[in-house]
Amino acid sequence: MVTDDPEKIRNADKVIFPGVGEASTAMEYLKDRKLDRLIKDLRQPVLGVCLGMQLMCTHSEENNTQCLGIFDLRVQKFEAGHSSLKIPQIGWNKIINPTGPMFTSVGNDQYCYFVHSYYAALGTHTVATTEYGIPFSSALHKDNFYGVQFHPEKSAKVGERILSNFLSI
Amino acid sequence: MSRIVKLFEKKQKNVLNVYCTAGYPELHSTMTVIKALQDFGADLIELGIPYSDPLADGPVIQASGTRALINGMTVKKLFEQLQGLRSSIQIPVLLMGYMNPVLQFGFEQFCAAAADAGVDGIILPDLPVYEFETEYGALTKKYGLDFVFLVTPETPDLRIRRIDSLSSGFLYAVSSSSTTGKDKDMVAQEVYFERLQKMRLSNPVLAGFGIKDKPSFTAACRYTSGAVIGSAYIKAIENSQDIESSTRQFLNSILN
Repeated sequence: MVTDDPEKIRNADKVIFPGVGEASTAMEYLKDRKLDRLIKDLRQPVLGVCLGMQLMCTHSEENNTQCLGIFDLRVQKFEAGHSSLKIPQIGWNKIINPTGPMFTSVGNDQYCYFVHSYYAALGTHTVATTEYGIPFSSALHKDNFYGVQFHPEKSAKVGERILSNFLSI
Repeated sequence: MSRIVKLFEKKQKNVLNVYCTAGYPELHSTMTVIKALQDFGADLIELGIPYSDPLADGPVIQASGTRALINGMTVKKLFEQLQGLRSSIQIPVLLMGYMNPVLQFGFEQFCAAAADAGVDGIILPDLPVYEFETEYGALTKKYGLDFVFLVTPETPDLRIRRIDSLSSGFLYAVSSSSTTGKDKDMVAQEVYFERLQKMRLSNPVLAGFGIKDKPSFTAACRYTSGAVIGSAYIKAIENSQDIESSTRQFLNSILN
């Protein structure tokens, strides 16, 4: 079910908080509907994908946006100067040292599909890293909150596995 | 009648289409690869235009595209390399790529250059059906190029019929809605291929994505006219010192 209805979200068994978009506009949308508060208070498993994951951090450099603050991390833009890599990163990259329930039966160094210009740095809630010029958090986990920078729905069998792992948490 | 249509008139089963990225493994490998594929048994060739932001490719083809771009491959260089293609190549050649580089080059210019080089058809997975119908289809037709669409197991029958009516040459049946190069249980795909076969479409069907060896090729061909192999061939020539012998060895392992 795709919804922004607070009641339906509150009563869901699992919540996926998807991405694609721009941080400040998305946060405005959430605040207008008072979903910013609601998401933070959810007790069921919540999975943020891409921008969804980034909005679960404290702050995003994308239009200097205050985010939900679930993960104590700042979201930064890839710097063009870091290497010859193009921005945004679009395509497959390795998921290094994945741990925790999302990654049950997912081996090390599996490829997932990314589309992003901003990244969450490494922190205590990092449960998988990826290198793109620099290492960044490709997955986060804290309590009932999970986040992935890549798109599991675009990541073939590995992505399917991660989604089904999330559904069986 | 196009070379592709002629091929399928002559051969209705076990047609082998091999994909390789242009400018891979080395910038000037393109013609060597095409010639070797023809000489050792490929029925048609799908030449990939390397692109930095792959949409329907798996990690292996993505890496080959990155390497080709580092080698200096461009659309312009590709057409330069294909000059004289038809002096040695008789089998059909298709170009597969994404809209961005094609639009940068100019869509009509691209069709004109492709036709001029002796290319037979094009595959652009991110060109939507509507845009093809209303704008670009007329141009591919003008230059006598076949245009091949993709269908997936999730494509409804009605839309498959519409896509079939717009396609010429063949239909590319993606064996899963995910991306290239992943291991797929071909037996599970058979239901889908059989469904396509029963639809009696006007174009022949080639199965693609996930076909890597003789068993998967044979399984895919059971209900289709043939299959496309990409990632497995890319891997076979990745570190090759001798593209001809690596290609011969690879095609022998599929065909014999």
